[in-house]
Amino acid sequence: MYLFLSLISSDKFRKIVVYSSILLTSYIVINLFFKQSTGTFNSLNVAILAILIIIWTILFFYEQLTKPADSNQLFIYSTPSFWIVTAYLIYFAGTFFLFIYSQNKNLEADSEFSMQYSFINSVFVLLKNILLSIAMFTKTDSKSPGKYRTQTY
Amino acid sequence: MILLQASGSSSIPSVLFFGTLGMLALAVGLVIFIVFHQRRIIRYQQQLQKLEEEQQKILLEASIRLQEEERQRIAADLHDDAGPLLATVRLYLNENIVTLDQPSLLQAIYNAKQIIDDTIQLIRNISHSLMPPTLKNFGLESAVTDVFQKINGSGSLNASCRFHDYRRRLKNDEELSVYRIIQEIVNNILKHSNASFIHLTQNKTDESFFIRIHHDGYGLTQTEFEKLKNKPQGLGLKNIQSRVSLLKGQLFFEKDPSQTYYKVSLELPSDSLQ
Repeated sequence: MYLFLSLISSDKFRKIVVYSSILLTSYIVINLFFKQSTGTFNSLNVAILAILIIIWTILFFYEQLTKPADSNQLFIYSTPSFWIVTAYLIYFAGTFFLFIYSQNKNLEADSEFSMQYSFINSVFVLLKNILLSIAMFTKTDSKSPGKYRTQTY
Repeated sequence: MILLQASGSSSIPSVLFFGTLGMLALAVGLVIFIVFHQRRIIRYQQQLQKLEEEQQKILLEASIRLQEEERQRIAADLHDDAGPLLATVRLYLNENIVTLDQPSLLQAIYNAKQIIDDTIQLIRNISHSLMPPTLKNFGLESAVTDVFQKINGSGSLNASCRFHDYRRRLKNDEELSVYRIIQEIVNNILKHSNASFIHLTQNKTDESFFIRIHHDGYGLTQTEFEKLKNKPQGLGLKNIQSRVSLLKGQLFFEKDPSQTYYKVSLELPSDSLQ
């Protein structure tokens, strides 16, 4: 949430991020105490988180496209924020179906699915990490030196 | 297929496989769309910026050209009119003046005085054309009224002006610019429109200062103005535009809905007022 709050500047979108995070946290807490069955991997929480991240990513991209004209505006892919957001988008979009599918499955009991789960998840973690490393090697915007360097993701 | 092979003997359920692949394709598609769309937007903005810069360049060139033309005109006036007059005075006063008899001497001095008076008048005219004294001393209202009275006095058309609220004058530089704009517009109307009347009104609100000029001749609409000011020969219109930009104002050329007269409106922000 902090990542998106620091990347999105529109007040309206920031509010959406904050309120949706609060709602998600409340849902997870309620789910943890009252609904979740023990011994199974309840991935619905992660699936909802994935949807939220995808929505926040779309908000970020939308803001980037609609922000006022700036004569020194950089191409979006030359900023680290683009690669970071893309990394999370790809990861959560790619694993979304995996989380939905594995809902209420006992990963320990179903070793075959557990292997498939680990494999798909690892592929997307790898992809995410590659994109994050591109972000690390992308130079920050000269107009705001250190803006991203001082932040930890 | 890679996923299928990598997972060994067990195959990934098709719902999961195609769902994951679909979501991945959607995400990648979104990113690609964003990248290309943003590139297009940036290119479009760059093009706009370039056009704006070109427009600014044209205006700057026009204003430099105007300045040069003004200098040439002053130089020509001084050289062709004041120069010969002063040279003639010199002749009158130099020509063995002490050896002349009393009547001839008086006549020579009288002639020289006449020519000096003409020269003074000429220099005054040049100076007035640079900065009208009425504008400097009494403000825009008096200067514009003066211009309109002169036009009216010619008898060729009916010219009138009315200032509704000019208790707070414009700043000196801006007053001169507005005066020049009005002068140029009126001059264009006299030259090209074949109008039978010109009427100027001034008004102001809390945010803006307005000048409106109506006439019943053949005038310009905004589209025609935009077209003409970008043509190399439209120096007067370029000057108007450059002065309006400098004043951070807006200029509108329109035809009245009744199609009987044309209207030119100049709108300035009220912070131009003193």
